[in-house]
Amino acid sequence: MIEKNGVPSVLLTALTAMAKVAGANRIVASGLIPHTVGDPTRSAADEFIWRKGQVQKALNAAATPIEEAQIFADW
Amino acid sequence: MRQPFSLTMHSIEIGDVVLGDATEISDGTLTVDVAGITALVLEDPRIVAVEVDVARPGENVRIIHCLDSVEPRTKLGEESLFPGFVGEMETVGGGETLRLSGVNVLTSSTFPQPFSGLLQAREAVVDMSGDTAAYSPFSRVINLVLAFTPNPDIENEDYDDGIRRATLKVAEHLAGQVVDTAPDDTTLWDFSTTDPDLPNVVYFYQMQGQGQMADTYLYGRNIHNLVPTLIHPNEVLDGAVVSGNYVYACYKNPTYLHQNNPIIWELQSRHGKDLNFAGVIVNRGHNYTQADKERSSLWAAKLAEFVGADGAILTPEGGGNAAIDMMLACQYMEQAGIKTTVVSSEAAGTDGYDFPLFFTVPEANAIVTIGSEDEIIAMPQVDRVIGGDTLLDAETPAIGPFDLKMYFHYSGASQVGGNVLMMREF
Amino acid sequence: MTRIAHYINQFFAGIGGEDKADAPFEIRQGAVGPGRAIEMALGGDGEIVQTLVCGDNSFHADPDANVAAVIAALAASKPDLLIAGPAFNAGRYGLACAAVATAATEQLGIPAVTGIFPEAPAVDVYRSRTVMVPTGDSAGSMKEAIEAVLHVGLRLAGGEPLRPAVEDGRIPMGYRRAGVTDVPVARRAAEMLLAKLGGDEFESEVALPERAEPIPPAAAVVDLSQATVALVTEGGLVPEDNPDRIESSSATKWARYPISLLEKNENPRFKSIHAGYDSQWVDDDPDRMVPLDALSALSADGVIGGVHEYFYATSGTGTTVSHAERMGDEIAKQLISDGVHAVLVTST
Repeated sequence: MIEKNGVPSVLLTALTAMAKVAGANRIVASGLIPHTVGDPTRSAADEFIWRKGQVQKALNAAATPIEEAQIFADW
Repeated sequence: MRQPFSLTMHSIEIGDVVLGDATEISDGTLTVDVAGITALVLEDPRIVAVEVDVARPGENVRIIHCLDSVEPRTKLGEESLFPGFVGEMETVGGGETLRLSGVNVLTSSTFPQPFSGLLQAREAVVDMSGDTAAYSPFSRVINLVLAFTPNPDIENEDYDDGIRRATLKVAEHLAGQVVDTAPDDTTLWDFSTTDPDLPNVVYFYQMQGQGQMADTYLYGRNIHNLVPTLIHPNEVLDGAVVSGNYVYACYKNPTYLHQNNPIIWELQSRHGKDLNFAGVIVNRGHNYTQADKERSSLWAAKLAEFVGADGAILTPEGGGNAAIDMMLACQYMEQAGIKTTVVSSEAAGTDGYDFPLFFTVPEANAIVTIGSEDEIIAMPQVDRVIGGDTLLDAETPAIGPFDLKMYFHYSGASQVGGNVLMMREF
Repeated sequence: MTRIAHYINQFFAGIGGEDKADAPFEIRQGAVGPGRAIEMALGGDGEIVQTLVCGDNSFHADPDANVAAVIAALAASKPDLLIAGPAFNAGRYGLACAAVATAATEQLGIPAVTGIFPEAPAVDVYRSRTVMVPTGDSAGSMKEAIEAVLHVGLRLAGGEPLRPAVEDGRIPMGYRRAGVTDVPVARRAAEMLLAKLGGDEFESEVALPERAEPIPPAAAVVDLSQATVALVTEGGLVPEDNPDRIESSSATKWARYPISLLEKNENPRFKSIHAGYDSQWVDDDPDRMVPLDALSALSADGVIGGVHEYFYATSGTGTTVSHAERMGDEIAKQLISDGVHAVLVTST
C-alpha cells in the first residue's frame, strides 16, 4: 500500500513467495521467520556486519528501477 | 522381520466403556480395569497421579487441557506396535492388528513448568454434547480420559515423554487384554495388486515438526530435518506416526487421527475400485525459509512423479505457514502433470468476510475446506468438566459459559479430515 | 399469524409511474398492490399490517429523513418481518428497498428481506448488510419472487437463523461460516480428485482469488545519499507495555515510535507482541526485526541521507486483508507527509 502511494518500499522477509502474492514489488529474501534481519548463529559483531549487508541490499533495491515485482535473492 | 506390505486389520466395535476391575469386553461394552491402568501409568515417576474417567457422546461433559489421543490397538503376533515408544524398533505394518473401534484414550494434563514463546501446549477443549460438539471429532467417540498430574520437579520435555509413553502403553494394553474377542470386521490392507486402467493416487501427508510441543514422531524420532520420504500406508496403522503436537488445538492431528487418518482409510477403501493407492509421501511443513520450502516441495513432487502418480491428495498440518509448503508442492506436482486436490482450513476473519486462504497458487483449483480458525464459538455452561477447574488462562471457569475461538477446539479443523465441518458461504 | 410490513414505491402502490417518482413518503393500512399477492401466497398464515410507500426520487432526495420515517412507522407497528420490494432490476427502487431493509434490522432488530435482481446496483452496495433474495429482472416474475422472499422471510420472522446462501436460495452476503456436513472431507477430496482426473466437472469449495491488479512499482530512489529512509515492521515490535494496545493477532491498529526510544531500548524495553513467531531472538535484540543499528550506521557512513525519526509497527499474523490494506494506506500517507523517500519493511 505504501508503494501505491508512490514511495518505493522494500520488503525484507524470509517468505518471498508470500510477499509476491501479497503484491510487494521489491522483495529481499532475508533471514528466518523469527528474525528477518537477525542471525543468532553469528557472534554479535558478525551479526551486525551481516545485518548491515542485508539493509544495504534493501537500499540498493529501493534505488533499482524495476518494471515488475522482483525478488532480490539471498543465496 | 516382516515387511509392511500386507496387514490384516481386525476391528471390534465398542458401544460403551465402563470402569471396573478387569479389562474385558462383553456385548460390545468394554470394561476397563482402573487399578491396572493406574498402576501401569504410575510405573513412570514422572507422573505422580492419574484419574481415569469416561466421557461418552451425548453426555453433558466438557474435557479440557486435551493433549494426545490414541486408539487402543495391539498386534496379534510378535510384531512391534508404536516402534520407538512401546514396541521394538522394527518396520511395522505387517501381520495382524486388533483395534477397538469407537474408543479413544484421551490425555488431559497441564505441564509442570511455565511456558513461554511460540511452542507451548495451548488449551484444547472437547464438548461431548450440544451444538458445540460439532467443533471436535472427539465428541463422537467414547473417550477414556487419563487426567495426569505431573511431577512438579521435572522439565516439560521430560514430562511430555512420560505421558506419551504412558498413553501409548495404556492404549496397547487395553486392546491386548481382549485379543480373544471375535472381531466385528476383518479387512486386508494390501496394495500390491494394481489395476493398470485405474489412476495411481499418492497421499502427500504433511506433519508438524516445529519443535518440542509441536512435534510428530516417525518411528520414535522427530521430523525436524525430514526430507519428504515414502512410507507404506500400513505403517501408519501400526503407530509409526505418533503425535506430540499441542500448539494449536484446531489443527493438530493427535495419534488417533494418524492411526485413523481418514484420507488413508478412504484411499484404501477405493483401492482397486476407482484408483490405485500408490503410496504415502510424509513430509514436514513450516519449513523456515523460502529456499527450504522450495527444497521440500520440489522433493515431494519429484517422489510423486517417481512412483508414477497420476493424482495426489495433499493435507497440511497447521496454519498459513504450513499451507504455503503444501500449496508449493501442489504447484510443482501440477506442473509435472499430476492432478491434485488439497485440503485447507480457512481464516476468513471473525466475521467471515475476508478471503479465506493465506496463500494459494493458481494451480490449486480443487480445494476441500474444513472450519475457520477465526470463528468465535459460544461455549455453554455444562454439567461436568474433566481435566481441571479453569482453562489454561487460569481465570476462565471451565464449566462455562465462555467464548472460545476455533483455534482452541480439539482437532476441530483437522486437515486430514477428522471433523465434520465444512465452510459454507452465507 | 406473521405480521408483515411492506415497503414499495409509487409505481407498485398504484400512484403513478416515473412521473410520480417524487411522491412523498406515506403509510397505508394493510396490503397494497403486490402486497395482496403476498397475502394470497401466505394463505392466512400472515397478514400485511402496514404498507410503507415512497416515490423513488423523493426517497433519494433525502434518504436519511425517509429512512427515519420508515423506522418510526416500524417502531410503532412492530411487525415480525419487513419485506422490501421485490424491486427486480430497478436501480433507485432497489437501493431504497435495501437501505430501508438494512435500517430495519440494524436499528430495530426486525428481520428484513429484499427481493432483487442479482445484477441490480443495490446488490453490491448492500449485500453484506441485509438479506437479499434473487428475482428475475422484471415484474413478470412477481409470483416466483414472492415465493422466494417468503421462503426466507418467514423463517427469519420465526427467529430461525440464516442457512448457507445456496440452501436458503439467497444472494450470498459474502461471509463464510463452518457448518456440519455428513460427507467427510476424505470422501469429498477423493471424489473431487477423481472428477479432475477423469476430466469431469468439479467445484472447488474455495474459489481462487482474482489476482489483484499488480501495483506498479514506485520509481526508484534517485540518490540514496540524500534520501530519508523509514523503517516499518509487521513483526509486532512495541514498547513492552504495548501502550497503543496493538493486537497480537488479527491486528487492526498500528503505531509509530521514536527511533531514539528504540535505540535506547531501556525504560521502555521493546518486545514483540506478535503471536505468530517465536520472539525470543527479537526480544533479545530488536535490531533483528527492526534493523535500526544497521540503518543508522549506513546513514553515518553517508550511504543514505538520514533515518526517519519514527519507526512504524503492527502485527502481521491473522491480519485480515482489509485491515492490512487500510493500515498500509494510513502509514503511507503519514510517511509521505513527513517527507520520507524510501521505506524498508520487515516481515516475519
